[in-house]
Amino acid sequence: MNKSFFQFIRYKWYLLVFMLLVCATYGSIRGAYKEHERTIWITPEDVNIRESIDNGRVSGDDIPKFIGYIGIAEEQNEFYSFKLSLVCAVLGIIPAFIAMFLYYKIYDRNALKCIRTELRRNNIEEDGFIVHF
Amino acid sequence: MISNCSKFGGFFQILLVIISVCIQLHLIIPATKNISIAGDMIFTYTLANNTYSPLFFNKEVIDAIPNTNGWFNAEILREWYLVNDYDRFDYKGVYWHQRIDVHPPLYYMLIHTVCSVFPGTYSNMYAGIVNILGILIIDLLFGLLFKTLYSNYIYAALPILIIPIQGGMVSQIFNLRMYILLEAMCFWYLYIHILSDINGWSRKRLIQFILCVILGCLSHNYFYVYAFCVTLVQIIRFIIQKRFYALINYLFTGMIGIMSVLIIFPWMIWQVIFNQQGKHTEIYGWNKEKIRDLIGFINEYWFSGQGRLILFIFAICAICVLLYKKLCKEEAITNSRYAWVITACSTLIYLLIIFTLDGGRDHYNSPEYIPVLFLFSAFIIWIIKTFTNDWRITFPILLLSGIALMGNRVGVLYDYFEAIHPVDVEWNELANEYHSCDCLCIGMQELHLMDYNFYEIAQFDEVKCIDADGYNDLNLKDILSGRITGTDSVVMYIAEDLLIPDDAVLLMNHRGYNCVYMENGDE
Repeated sequence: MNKSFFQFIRYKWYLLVFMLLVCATYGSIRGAYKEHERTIWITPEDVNIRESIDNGRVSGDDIPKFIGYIGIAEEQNEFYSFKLSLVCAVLGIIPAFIAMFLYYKIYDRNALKCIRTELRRNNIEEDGFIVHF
Repeated sequence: MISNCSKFGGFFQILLVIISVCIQLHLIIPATKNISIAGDMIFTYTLANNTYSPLFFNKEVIDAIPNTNGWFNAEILREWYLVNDYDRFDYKGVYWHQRIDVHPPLYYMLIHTVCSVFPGTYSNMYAGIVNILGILIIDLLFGLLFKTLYSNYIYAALPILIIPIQGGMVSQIFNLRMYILLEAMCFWYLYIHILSDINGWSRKRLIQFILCVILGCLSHNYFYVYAFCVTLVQIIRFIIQKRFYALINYLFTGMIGIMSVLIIFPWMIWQVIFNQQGKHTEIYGWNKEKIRDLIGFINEYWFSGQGRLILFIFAICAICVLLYKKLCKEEAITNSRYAWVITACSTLIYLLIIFTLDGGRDHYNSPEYIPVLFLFSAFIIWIIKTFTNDWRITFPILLLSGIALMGNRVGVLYDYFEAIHPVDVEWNELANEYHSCDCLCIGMQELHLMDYNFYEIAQFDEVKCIDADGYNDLNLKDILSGRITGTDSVVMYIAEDLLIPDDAVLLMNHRGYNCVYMENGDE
C-alpha cells in the first residue's frame, strides 16, 4: 500500500467510525439495561400528591396536577444510555486506533490481497461506495 | 422549438401531478376532521403530551388521585392528552413514555410538536397533519420513482388519486396512529432499493439508506419486519449477481443505521426482543379458514372489494399484451422488472409473516398497501405503454382505467365514514354538549381507556368511577355526594346490563353503555 499509518486511517475512516459506533452502541445498551433495572414502576405508594396539594384536593390552579408523579418520573429519566454511549465512544478511541494499526500491519499480506481481489469482481460501482478495499 | 415544447410538457406534467395531489387532499382532509377519537387513538395524544405519568389509568392510579368520596377533577384526565404551557416542546416526557411502552418515539414527538404549537387545545387535525405529511411523502416518492422508471412524472397521478379510495389506505386515513408514517418510511426504503438497482448504489444513496433505516426504525417496530423482507430479496439479488463488494457496502451501511437507532433508542431491545408488554403471543396456525380470511383481506384492503374483477381483467390484459409482444417480437420490459420483483416478493413475505402473527388487522398490514398500489399502477402502465409511448394518449387512458377498476366505488372513503363513524362522532359530541355536568361511570371493565370512553369522560367537570357492585349496594344520593359543585347535573355512563335510575333521561346507547342525564343529581 506504501502509505503512512495516518494516510491509511484517512483512507479507511469508515472503519474507525464503525468501531466507535460499536463502542457507543455497547454503551447505550449497557446504560439502558442499568436504567431499566432501577426503574421504579409508579405505584400509588410512590405518589405524594395528597401531601403536595392543600386540602387533599386538586383545585383548578394546581399546575401540573400530577406534580407528585413528575417528581418520581424525572428521577427515573437519567438518560444513562446517552451518557454511557458517549463514555464508551470516547474510551473506544484508543482500542480502535490499536485495531486499525494491527490492520495496517497486515493489510498487504497476500491472503488479504487475494480476498480483496476476489470480492472486487463483478463490481460496477466502486467509486461511489463508502467501503473501499 | 422542440426544447420549448419539452419544457412546457415537463411543466404541464408536474402541474397535473400537483392537481392530483390537491384532489387527493380535498378527499382526505374533510374526512380527517370528522374522525371520532375512539379506542387506542387517545393514546396518540396521551403518550405524546403527558409530561410524566403512568401509561394506564387503572384502579390504583384513580384511587391515588386526590378525591372526595371518589370524585376528582376531570381536568386531570384532560391534562393527560393536552399540551400545557409548562410542557410545550418538552420531549423528555415523550421519550420516557415510549421507553416503557411498545412503540418508538418519532411519531409521538411529531404529534407533541404539532400540539405544542396549540397548547391547551385539542383537535383531530393535530394527528391528521402528521398523517397528511406521511401521504405527501408517499406522493413525492411516487413522483420520483415513476420519473426514474418511465421518464415521466405524470404517471404518479394514478396511485396518488387511488390512495384515498383504496380500502387499506382509507382505513388508515381514519386511524389517527403512526401507520401512515410507517407506510411512508417502508415505501422510502423500497424506493431506495429500486432506484439503486437502476442507477447503482452510490455513496449518496447509501447515506439516504442509513437515514431511512434510522427514521423508519424510530417510527414503528414493524418497520424491521418490512425492512427484513426487502433486504432478504436484495441480498439474494447481490448473491445471484456475485456483487459481493456491493453486498458488503450494503450490509455495512445497514449496520451503521441499526447501531445509530440503538444509540438513540436502545429500548427497542426490550420492546422487540423481550416483548415488554407481552403482545402478539397468540399465534393461530394456518388452516382453510385462515386462508379464506387472507383472500377476504386482500380483496377488501388491497383492491377495495374489487379483487376478482381486477385480477380477471389484469389476467386477460396480460395474456393479450404478451401475445402482442411475441407476435411483434418486441423486447420485454427491462427497466422496471426488478422493481416488480422486489416489490411483489417483499410484500408477499411481509403479508405472510404479519398474517401469521396478527391475522387481517388492517393497521399491522399497512406497509403492504402502497407497494400493492405501485404494482397495480405499474401493471396498467405496462399494458398501455405496450401500444403507445405518447403520454398525452396514455395518461387519460391510464387514469380512466385505474379509476374504473378500483374506483368504481369512488365514494368508498365516504361510504366508510357514513357506515362506521357518525354514531361515534355523535357519542363524542354528546360529551362536549354536556361538558358543564359531572360524570359518573358505572361498571367499566377497562379503566385504562375508560372502556374506550376516555375522551368523552374527560370533557366533564368532575368524575367518579365505581364498579357495578358499588352501584347496586349504595344509594344514589350517597354516590353523588362529595362533589365540589353538588348542584351540577350529572351525566352517567352505565353498563348496559345495569338498571337506569327512574328520574334519569336516556340520551344514547353506544359501546355497551347507556348514557343518561340526571338534573341536579345531588338534590
